Amino acid sequence: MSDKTFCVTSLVRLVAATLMLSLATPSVMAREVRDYRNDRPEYPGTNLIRRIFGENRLYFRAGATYLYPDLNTRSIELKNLSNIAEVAVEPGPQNGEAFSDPLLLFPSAIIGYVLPWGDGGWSVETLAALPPTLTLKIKGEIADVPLAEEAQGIPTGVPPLGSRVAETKALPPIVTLVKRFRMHSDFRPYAGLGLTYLYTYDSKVTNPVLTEFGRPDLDIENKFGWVAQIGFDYKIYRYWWANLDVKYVSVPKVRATMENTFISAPGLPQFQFVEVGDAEFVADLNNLAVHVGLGFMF
Amino acid sequence: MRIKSSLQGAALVASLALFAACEDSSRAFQPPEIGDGLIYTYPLDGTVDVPLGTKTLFVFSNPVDADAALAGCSEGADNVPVGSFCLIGPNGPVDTAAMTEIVNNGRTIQFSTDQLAQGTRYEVWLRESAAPGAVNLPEAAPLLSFRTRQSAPVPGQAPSVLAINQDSPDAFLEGSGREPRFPFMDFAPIRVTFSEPLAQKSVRLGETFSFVKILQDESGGVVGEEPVEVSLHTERHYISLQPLEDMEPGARYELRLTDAITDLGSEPLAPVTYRFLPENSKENPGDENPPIRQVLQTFPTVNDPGFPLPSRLSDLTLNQFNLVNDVLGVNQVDAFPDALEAWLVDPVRFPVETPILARAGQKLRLTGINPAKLSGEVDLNLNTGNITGVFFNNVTAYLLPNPYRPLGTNPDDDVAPLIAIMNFDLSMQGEDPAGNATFNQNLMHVQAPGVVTITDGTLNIELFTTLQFEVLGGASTINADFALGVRSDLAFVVDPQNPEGPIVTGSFPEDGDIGVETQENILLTVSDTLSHKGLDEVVLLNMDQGGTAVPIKVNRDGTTLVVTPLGELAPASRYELILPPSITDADLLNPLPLEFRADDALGGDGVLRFTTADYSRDNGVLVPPMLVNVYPGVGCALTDVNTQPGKAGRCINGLPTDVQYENFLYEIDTIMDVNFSQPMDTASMRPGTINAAGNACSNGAICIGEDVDGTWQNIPLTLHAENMAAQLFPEEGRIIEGGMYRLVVNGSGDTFRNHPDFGNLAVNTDPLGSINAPGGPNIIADFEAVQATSTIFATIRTRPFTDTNGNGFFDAGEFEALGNGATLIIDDTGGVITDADFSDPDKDKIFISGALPVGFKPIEPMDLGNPNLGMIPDGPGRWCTPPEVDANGDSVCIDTEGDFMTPVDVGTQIVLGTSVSLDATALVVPINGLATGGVILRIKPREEGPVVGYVINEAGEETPQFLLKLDAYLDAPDLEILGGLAASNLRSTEIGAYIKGPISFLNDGRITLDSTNITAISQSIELSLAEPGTAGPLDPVCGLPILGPILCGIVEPVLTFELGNIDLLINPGNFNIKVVNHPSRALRLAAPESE
Repeated sequence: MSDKTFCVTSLVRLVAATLMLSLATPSVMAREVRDYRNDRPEYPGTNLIRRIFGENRLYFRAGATYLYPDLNTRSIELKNLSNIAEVAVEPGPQNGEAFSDPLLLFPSAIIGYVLPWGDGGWSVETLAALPPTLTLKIKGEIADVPLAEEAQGIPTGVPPLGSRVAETKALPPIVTLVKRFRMHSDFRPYAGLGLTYLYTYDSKVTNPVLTEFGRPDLDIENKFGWVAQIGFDYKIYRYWWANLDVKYVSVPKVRATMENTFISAPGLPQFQFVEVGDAEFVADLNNLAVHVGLGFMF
Repeated sequence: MRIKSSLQGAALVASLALFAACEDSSRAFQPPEIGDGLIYTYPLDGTVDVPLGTKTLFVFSNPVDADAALAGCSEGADNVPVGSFCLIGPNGPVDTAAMTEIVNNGRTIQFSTDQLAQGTRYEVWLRESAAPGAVNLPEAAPLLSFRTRQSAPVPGQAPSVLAINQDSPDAFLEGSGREPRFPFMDFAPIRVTFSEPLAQKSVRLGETFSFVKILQDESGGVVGEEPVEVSLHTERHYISLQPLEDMEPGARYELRLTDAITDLGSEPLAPVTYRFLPENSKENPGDENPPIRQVLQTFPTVNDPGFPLPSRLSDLTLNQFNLVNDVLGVNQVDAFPDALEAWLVDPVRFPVETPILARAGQKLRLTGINPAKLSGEVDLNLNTGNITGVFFNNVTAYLLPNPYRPLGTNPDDDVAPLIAIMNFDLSMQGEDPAGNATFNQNLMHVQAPGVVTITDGTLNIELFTTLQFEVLGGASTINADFALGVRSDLAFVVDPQNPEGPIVTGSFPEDGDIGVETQENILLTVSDTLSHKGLDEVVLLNMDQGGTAVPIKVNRDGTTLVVTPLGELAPASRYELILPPSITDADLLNPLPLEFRADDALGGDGVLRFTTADYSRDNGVLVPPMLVNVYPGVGCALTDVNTQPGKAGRCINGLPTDVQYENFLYEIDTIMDVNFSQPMDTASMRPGTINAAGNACSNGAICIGEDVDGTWQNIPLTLHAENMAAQLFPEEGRIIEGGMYRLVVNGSGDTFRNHPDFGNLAVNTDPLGSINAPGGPNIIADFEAVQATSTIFATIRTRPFTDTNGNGFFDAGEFEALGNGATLIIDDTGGVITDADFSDPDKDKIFISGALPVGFKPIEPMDLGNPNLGMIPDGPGRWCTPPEVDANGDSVCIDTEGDFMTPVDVGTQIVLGTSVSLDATALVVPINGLATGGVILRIKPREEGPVVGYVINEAGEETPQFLLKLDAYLDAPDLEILGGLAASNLRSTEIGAYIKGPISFLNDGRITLDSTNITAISQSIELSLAEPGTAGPLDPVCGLPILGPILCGIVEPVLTFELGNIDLLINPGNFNIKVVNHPSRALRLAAPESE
């Protein structure tokens, strides 16, 4: 059995086990005696959560998030160029910038925990969602003009890269400390500050020019960023709340490095392939995440 | 419950972790492993014309096993040799141990071809055991083969085409089924390499060969043809044709060689036609050049960053070269940072071998040999100045993947570098006029392969080639290994400057010369390489025939313009060679016309005027030619052969007391030659076959043989005949070190005969018997072949000389060449001679003509007191002649400079002198017109060892000096006194003097030794009734038994009693001998042979 097959098989088994455990839980709960002492929402697992975290501690707002990534390109630099690549292109900064398309409304949930001090206005929140796939693109000269138009005056035949460069899955855990105001009102504005940690995986180059001979290695730096948050909760019914949440998530100076890149240069037919060298993108990853959700307090 | 929740959480985390871990990161491209191996060779497979002395290189990406590579090789079964590194010649494995070394940090096997044979194909077998780990070496087949250069003519073999553009000629032969190895481009010259040197008079475009374009109609039918205008260079075994305009792609061109082309032995080429189908190099019709411009510059040079940069292929430094040879020692030259413009053909159209063009007329420069010093010590007062190489034809180059790797292997600087192959013709010249004249030359059909690596964002090309230079006017050659570093960078700037137009700096003959031979090249040395322009307007006019144009062939060798009259010139005629102002230099960007300046060699009018020799004889007597040089041997039949150990005998009709000649030696690879006193009938100058007895040649005048089990076997010869000389070229490989051989010159029958205008008389092999008697016994000279020890070996000729018709008299039509003559003084008379004077006061001179083989030897510590010179030390660096050598008892002193001197072996040959005529009074009887007749001056052999002179540097002299103690025998075989009633002592009469003079270099490139006597010479003509040592007319009686000796014992003292004497004196400075080498530069500019 190959490693890859083994991985897939293992994944299937683990996911299946997880689902079985999840499905098993309601039947177990169904045999328990239901507590009707309050009218809190009762759903499978809610009491378990209350037992773990306590009442009026944990809340969630399930909904959708609109993510608008704003990449502020600091530099695109070619380095460690191979000898042949150096003939065609100068190492160092390149003209152009990176960007990513906005992600429209993907399912997400804000999960918060009300801290035990104060009047219940302080809480810690996180945003849970399936990791979004970010499509990384470039524009400007680097996209529109062949990087290596000529090598020593010889047309290389290397086409422009075009826009699409790579994609990656981002798993940016966000933790914010939130202060809610007007705690006795049904309309509770809040503001928060927090940290995020940009964790990417499954990053891969998708550019057809760069992948003719295989995928170059793409490494996106994992690093901390900061989060500013405002929003409000509005009580709809008893423990049910709707909310609108706007986060500004900034991870500065994220470094992405592409290595082991081999391209075809039809104008240099004596080279079956041309090793390029490394490309390094440095950008501030600034995201505006607008979340609309509905949830209740456990 | 908690447990289950924990399990759920763990499972999720594990899923995520595993999901992350199973990211597909294995799809990065992994270039295929190439493996270590051979990455470069010089020469390439199939190369022809590899000069002997070339270093061959076999370069690996991995270390060589030196023990295995140097272990040698043996013959194996099925012609597959056994060994790691084998060189296989026609006779099997060649012992390479002494010629092979491991260089380049253990990655290169370097083999020198010094000891290989000319014109021979060799295979190189190189196996993995020589470089363990190498993946690309064949075990059961040769790696490559190459052929060495054939510089000398090949006897008995017709010339053939060896290569066209370094490719098999079959590739250009219609119907051969073979395609050219490299694309033949529309800009390419056609370089035809032959198997041996050609007779240049037979190589005439439009007559003996042609290059035409076949005209076709739209359907491809042939409708005609037209000659293609080309820039033509022909010399030695090369023809290069550069079409003046790029050829038409797809059109058909034909090179037709006829059997009128012959080699130097007059053997004809088999007629053959080659066809060429040029490929398009341009992007668009009408483009001047291929589409991709490149600028190539020598890099790094001395002042560039990164200099010195070691070679990747050898132990050399890029762009810094050592010119090493025995004559001049080690001279380091550096490349200048010169840029060439080149054009790359679209690689997409030629993806494997991408053609590159560099247009003709571009230059590279080197620092020169400044000054030239013999063995690096004895200053020759000669500078080349900076040396410029001009590409006089388009450079055709190719960029290709490493040929030692499978096709499709990606280039890799270390294990599979790109290869560049440059093919070019280069004209070399020196900046200094004298240096240029002795150095300029063409380097033809050079192929320089190199590796291309990529550093600093540029293509860097390292080309390796061994170039063979001729230096000192062709008297010596230098094999120079060039590791030329070139960088391609569009930032380099091609210098468009061309500071000045070419001027004529020298000529042969000189402007205004008289007595010029009637069959000879005319040479003009110019300060720059010339283009083809205007050359067809050069005319040679016979001014004594109303300015009739003489058919000529004009060729260029370096900066020398070689004008070869196609027929023999008329004697005693005035000629003018007229250079048109349309002649230009070959500069690509800014060609300038030939400048005529008052200080140029032609006096500023562009006309070379000369007068041919007047061969008329005042007395009308036909005199046979003499052999003034036979190398190896001497120009007289010998007697007393094998009577003394180590001696070869003496000339017949000399005296028995003559010192015998040393055994004759032949230095292998020097040119055997004979020189004559007169213009010859070249039809008679044919090599023959030695007879079994070894005493005569059949079907030819001269032959060579070797004794095999008591029978003489012939060694085939090629003979190149000139006006007054012939060079002999034995069959390759037949003369080997230590072997004993015999040279025979017939004295009768099939023998050398003089020019029909001179009576077509047989050569005189007994000049001491009489100068006037044709024929004589055969000259038989046994010689031993020895390893060459001379750094320069040349036969030098007395030039200019007076006795152009070689009859032993100063005739009215001849001129006084004081550089080769002696002015006599009648010092005294005695006995019955009471008075004497010259019959004509203006003819008080003896003019000499001859030729001497000389060999310059390696330097020795300065010592003029050695036995060869016998001078007396007189303080540090000061030496004086012994007083007893001088007729006046004077001593002459020389202050030397430096610690070394260069010995020069001088051949003991025969020199012809002109007659002097005296009017004397014997008591009261006038003896008028007492003419010596032609006199013979034989350089006297030493009792032991060769005659040796020395080249020294002398204080106060700019030029080096040649110093020789010259001892000679003087003979006047035809001196007749009183109708034979009296005799003289002028038979084997010894004279001696020190001669000294400068070695200099003429502006036409010839080396000159211009010596004069520094001590006085006296000679007394003693008159008696019979010649000393004889009984005169009673000699036959002396042979009678018993009575003869008694009678002769009585009468001989009476008959030989000195009746009177005339004492002649040559004061210091009055005996001059000026010898020069022939401007033929070996066979580079072979003098024309008459048809």
